[in-house]
Amino acid sequence: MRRPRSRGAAVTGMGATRAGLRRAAWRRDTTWVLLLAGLLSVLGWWHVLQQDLVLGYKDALSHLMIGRRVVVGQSTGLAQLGGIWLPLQHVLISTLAWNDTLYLTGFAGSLFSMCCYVSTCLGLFLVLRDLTGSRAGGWAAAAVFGLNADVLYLQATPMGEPLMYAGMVWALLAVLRWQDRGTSGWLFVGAGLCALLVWVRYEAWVFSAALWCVVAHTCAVRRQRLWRGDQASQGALLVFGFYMALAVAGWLAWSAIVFGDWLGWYRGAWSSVDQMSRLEMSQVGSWSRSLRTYAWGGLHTVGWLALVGGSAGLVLAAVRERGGPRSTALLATLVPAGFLVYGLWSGSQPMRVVEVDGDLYNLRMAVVLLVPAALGTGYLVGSLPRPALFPTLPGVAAAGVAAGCLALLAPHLAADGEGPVTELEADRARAAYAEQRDVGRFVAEHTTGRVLAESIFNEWVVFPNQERVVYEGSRGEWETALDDPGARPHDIAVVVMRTTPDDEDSVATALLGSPRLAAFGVVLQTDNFLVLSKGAGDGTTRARH
Amino acid sequence: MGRPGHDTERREHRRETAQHTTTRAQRRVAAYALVGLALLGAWSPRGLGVVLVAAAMLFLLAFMTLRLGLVLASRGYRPPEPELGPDEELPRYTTLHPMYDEAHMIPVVVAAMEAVDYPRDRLECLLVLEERDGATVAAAREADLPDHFRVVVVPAVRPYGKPKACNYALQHATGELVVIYDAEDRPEPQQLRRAAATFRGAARRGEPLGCVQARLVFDNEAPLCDEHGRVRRDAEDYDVRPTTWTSRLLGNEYAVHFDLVLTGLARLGLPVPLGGTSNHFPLALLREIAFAPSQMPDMPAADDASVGAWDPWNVTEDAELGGAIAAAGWRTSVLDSHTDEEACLTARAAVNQRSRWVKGYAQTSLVLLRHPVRSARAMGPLSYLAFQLQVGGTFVSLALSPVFWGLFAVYVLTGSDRIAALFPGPLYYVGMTLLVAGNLALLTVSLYAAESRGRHGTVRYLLAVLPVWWAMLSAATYVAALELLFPAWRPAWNKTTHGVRRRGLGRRLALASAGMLAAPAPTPVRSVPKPAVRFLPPDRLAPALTTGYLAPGPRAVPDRSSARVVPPPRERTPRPARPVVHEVPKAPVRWLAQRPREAAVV
Repeated sequence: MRRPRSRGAAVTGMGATRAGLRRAAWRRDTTWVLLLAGLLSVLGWWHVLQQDLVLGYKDALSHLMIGRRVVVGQSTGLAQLGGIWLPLQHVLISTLAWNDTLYLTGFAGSLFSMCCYVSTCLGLFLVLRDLTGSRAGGWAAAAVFGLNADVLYLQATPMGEPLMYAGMVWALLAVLRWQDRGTSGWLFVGAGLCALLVWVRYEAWVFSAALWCVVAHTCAVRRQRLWRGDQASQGALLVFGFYMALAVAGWLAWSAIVFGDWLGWYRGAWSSVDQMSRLEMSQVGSWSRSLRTYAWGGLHTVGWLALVGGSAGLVLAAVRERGGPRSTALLATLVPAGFLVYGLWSGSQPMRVVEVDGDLYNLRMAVVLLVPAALGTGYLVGSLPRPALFPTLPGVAAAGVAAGCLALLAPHLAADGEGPVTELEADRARAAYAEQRDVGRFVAEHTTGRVLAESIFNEWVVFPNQERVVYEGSRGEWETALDDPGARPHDIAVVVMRTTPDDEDSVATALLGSPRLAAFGVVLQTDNFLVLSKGAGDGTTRARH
Repeated sequence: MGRPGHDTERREHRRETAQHTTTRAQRRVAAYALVGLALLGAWSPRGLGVVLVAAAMLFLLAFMTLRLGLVLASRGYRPPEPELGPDEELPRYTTLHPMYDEAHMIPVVVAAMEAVDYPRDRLECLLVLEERDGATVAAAREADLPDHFRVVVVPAVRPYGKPKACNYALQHATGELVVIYDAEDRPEPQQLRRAAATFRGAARRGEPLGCVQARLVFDNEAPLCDEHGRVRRDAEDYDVRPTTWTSRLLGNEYAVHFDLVLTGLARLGLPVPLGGTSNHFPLALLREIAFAPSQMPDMPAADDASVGAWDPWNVTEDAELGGAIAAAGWRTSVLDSHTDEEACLTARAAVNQRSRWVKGYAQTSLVLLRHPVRSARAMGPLSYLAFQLQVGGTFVSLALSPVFWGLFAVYVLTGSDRIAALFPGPLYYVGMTLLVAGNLALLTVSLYAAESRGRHGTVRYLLAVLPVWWAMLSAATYVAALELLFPAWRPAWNKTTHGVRRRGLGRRLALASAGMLAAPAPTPVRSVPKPAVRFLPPDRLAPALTTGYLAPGPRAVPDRSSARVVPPPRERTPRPARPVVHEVPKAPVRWLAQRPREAAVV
């Protein structure tokens, strides 16, 4: 007869086995999250490509052009970066945008968005798994984010938002792991990510600052000393703040060196403030209107189910953690949304919704709410008990969340279904620029040589011809070409100008009707554009739009 | 001691000393190179500039890559698994304590070794003194040393210094394992046991472990604090453990070097340039890889059996020994133990110390460059390259740094086209990457080392003055270069001073302001002699007195009338003294006259 093992040994053995099984399950989950998110990303991109909406947003073209200009064009170099937009996305795009196919299809930017989407899903899973110890919570958070139609659209486009979401989630994960494990390595990872976020989007600045406050909160709760003893909180705060401050200082220095104004990105030509001054936004100066606008935007993009679940989860986290550092870290993800509401009120950010303005504009600004919504929903699911009669309750709840998200996604994928609101907005924007696309296509197919054209608000004209274009960012060449495009040294072969009444571009303002264009003949005239080619006769092609 | 069997492909490494900084062949090669560059410069000055800049960029890129690679590799480092055993099986251990002009440190050494947990019957501590250091020898003779201590007096033979002294002392060592400790070192009590267990475990597993290096920690990187976090001070208000910005940055350098760089080298199996102390070796290994007796200085005794383990002419003999160990096919590991040391408190002393180390690195590198192909075959090409980058690369990178910072500053201020011409296209981007990302990476490594060791208070110093520190290190490098070029010129070597009393700057300011704001001390009143007072008879009016005379006593009010009272000298509140930093200047090395005296072993 076999002698039974002693109880102690049996318990130890079982405990070790259980922990090992759990680790193995988590590793499997991580792999599955990556695979599923990757599959969704590729399918989403393919779907958007079929709709011909990868380059729906005008801003998507601008991002691609800026990235490509670093390596290809009439004036290349790092000085093409900066100005208004923060540069990290463009640095990434420049690694692929030298290739014409990747550039023209938008994949040079979409690839990074897709990778960020996958990493955000994984990051959300890891955050909730660490916070709640529950795989179900992680799956629920990843499902809320990954199955959102607007996110699936955005991740297929070369836009900067997916980069920001990934940075936010992984910076949050780094801070949470530093809080839990106390290892300084995670503090540095979080600090580095926050510094990189500074170079992605301006609303990420306030998120990074909020995380710094979370670090301070953590040090205060741990009663770490600032000035006496080991000065542990001093070290943590300095390290975390240093890299962010350096990134901000670097951006200001770059603006000063390259553009001659350290605040040019804020107050210079074509900055948000400048553009907003030309728009009449009803939200400016009204908190209630701003809040309502943003709330409607959140409802359209995130959905009421995720908003309610997320809110409940964040409240639960605050209560269970007693307002501790882990809950404030979660709440820090709400700060960018608050900043954008302030932006609406102050007039530095535009956003329109049908319910308030009868129009759609910039709704993608509200998608950032999906991050705290996913975190809160995941926390809610992960906090569900495991009663003896129903031990799989959290798993079932997670499956229910995923099913609900799929149910909300399905109508957008139907052949006759309406896409998500961000895709709708992009579709409308794209339709509005049909004339520009035709002009750009004409210049690409029927002309050769260098092109003089202003890029701002003419993106679709410049985009297919970018490597030939002398534009407002070409420094000295731009001024001299505007002065006399026909002069030999410039070799300007084509001049494109926007002639919309009261909205002419700089080329039209400088050269329309000028004798300096004597050597040029009109080759295309549309309602809003004029294309002239050097040495061309009056074989004008008139196109009506 | 058998050579590791897996290194059959390696050529045997012939160690050479740094008695001569360069050989004739090296000088010839350098001359040819200079002529070539001069011709290129004559043909195209810009071309010469671009070539030099490109070479420098390539080197700095390699150096930075290695540095950061080592830091990343260090994360996965695990010390070799020790194999503990009963005390009866512990090997005999010899600790060497080279001392010069440190008579006052003998009790410190004894106390440090008394704190070490090792069976006394298996421990032998050799105080290695110099014959010309009469004061320390006398102090050693008078000291009440424990039984396991012995004093070795090294004959006054050039070259003087620690490596020759240790070589001499090795012949008197009876231990299987040997370790070197400086006078101020305080090893962690279990260090010898851990080292012995590590060697034992490696031997059992058949691993070629030749040396274990303990981490060195400057304990005065941070002040000593009480449970309330206040700095501990002695009865006279001096810091118990004086700390300055210099000691903090030196401590941080040690943290980077021992926690990140050496562990990275050990993990990758690359040669490890050893630290100055707390290196543990099997004595047999030192004998095996020792220099040939003909390469060593002649000692007066005919039967002298000095073991040429360390290069007497190399000021960083330990770094060279690390390379020799690797070339012989042995590995070095970093021990999970530490030794506390005391860092210099002043920048001047730190610069002097660093110039010596950088000079030694240059010497080591130049010696290995005498026969680069042979050395590379002995060490392995990758190991040879990594070792050269570590030692010689440190010297070169510190020398190049101010050059490029200067070029950058001039370009920013003047926009000089000539400087721009030196950095065409790709070189410009490489240069900017090294300038921004490279320096940021080095700063991050220092910050990470500080935070990992719990030296959070060092972070603000790193952020504030690290570039200044780097500039000082570069200055030290140029001093080292001058010493190499002009061996006869040698500045006084400032050893780390010990027993310094110091108040921190904050404390001094607090005391000074408290002194200024304090109410003046009441003028002490002297007891004046009883005045000649005659009480007039009551029927005569006495002139009104302006002063009431009290009964004579110790606090009699001085008379304001005609009696002249000499006020007592006012006792001034003593001003806080300037911090007393006794830099015991190292006496300039005066070569003593040769005296045919035999070495004495006491």
